[in-house]
Amino acid sequence: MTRIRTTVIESRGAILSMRHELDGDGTIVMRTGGDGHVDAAQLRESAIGALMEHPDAGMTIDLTGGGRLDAATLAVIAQCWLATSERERELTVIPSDPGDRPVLERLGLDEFYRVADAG
Amino acid sequence: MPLEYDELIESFVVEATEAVADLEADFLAIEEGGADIDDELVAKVFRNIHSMKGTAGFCGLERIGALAHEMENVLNLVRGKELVPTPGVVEVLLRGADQLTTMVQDVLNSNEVDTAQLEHELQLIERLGPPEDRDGDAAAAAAPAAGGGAGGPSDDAGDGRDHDDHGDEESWEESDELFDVHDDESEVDVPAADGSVAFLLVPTGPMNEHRRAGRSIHVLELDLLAQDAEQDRRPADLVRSLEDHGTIIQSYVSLGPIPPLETAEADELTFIVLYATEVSEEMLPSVLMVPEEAVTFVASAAGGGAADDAADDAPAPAAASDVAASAPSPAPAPAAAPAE
Repeated sequence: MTRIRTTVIESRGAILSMRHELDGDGTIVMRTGGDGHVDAAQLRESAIGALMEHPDAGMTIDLTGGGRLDAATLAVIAQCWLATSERERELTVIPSDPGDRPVLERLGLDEFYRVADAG
Repeated sequence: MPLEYDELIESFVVEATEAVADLEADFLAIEEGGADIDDELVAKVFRNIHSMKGTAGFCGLERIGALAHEMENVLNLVRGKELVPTPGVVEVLLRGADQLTTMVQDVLNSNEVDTAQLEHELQLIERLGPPEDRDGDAAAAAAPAAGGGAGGPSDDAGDGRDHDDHGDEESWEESDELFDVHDDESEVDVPAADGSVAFLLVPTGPMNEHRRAGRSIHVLELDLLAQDAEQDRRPADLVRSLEDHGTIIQSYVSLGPIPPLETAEADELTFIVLYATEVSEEMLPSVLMVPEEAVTFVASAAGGGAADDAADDAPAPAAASDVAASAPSPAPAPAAAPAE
């Protein structure tokens, strides 16, 4: 299966472009930079675009380029989970701050998606 | 609230009908394999049940979601090679599959179906292993009262379950509390502020341990987006504050109000917490810096805890009938074990 790597190129909180790499197992990989509400909105827009383009792909949200997890990003993660689970695809989240992993677990969301370690 | 046959439920029925179609054959194949687990087959069944659970929660199909959740937990043990799918285990799973099929076929009335006994049998398997391996005493000791456990102080809780009486009935009935501090063997549905069920079938034992240690029990319903926007408080900060002032017994995020990704941004993200603390009910909102309406009293501390006074103002336990359309079945254990 084809791996679709979506790299979000970001500057000062604005997404400048997005490109896909095709290399393996059918997963959209989204990377974010910065944190805050604006980035969450952009993450959502990117996710919508990526899923429209690749509706059968799973998704990885790699937050290691950003700061601590904010609530708006968490909401987008939840929406991405709904979108991928409807398609019976897996969602993986890679948190930036090690302190965010237990938060994701406390929120119970790890029951619905995989939380992976960075690196 | 009555269910309506909308596009979401229609889509659920189509997918669930497909998912349950092969369950019987799959479970029988899993039984035939015994300890020689067919990883691929178990993973396939697990995915189907997991998906059904998630979508059922999103659609407000609470009994389908709750039963699928318990079946998923058992399958997760099988998947992890922690439980051998003996004929006794598979027999319960098969009955679960039959029940799911029946409920999917009459989906609009599925919330009226009493699945408590079946859920209880699945929970016993989770805790004690295959029925064949259990002696009667152990099962009886771990089991709540017959019929799926006590869900409230009276049988008119309205959730269609058999709320049998159990220990210390007289003193319990005199209080407004949700469960008896001396009864560590039951499970209760813990209500949210609006009377819906915030947490399904929570074992009373761990909660009573907190109460006897001087901590009262509360349900907190916290909008993470509001906390972030209004107080610049990240989810990690909020969780840390909760852990500084008490213990999170169970928690989850309600996915019910979250719109589909392509529809709109989420305007609320509610973190629901079953919480034990020594802080009094009056002080709790200011100590945690959360709105007063976010805190719902559940049970007082026993033995002179700081929250004893709050018991007088406690609302009567709410009917456990209207599980909110929160997407996930509430997590079964503190810091819910990942299912994936």
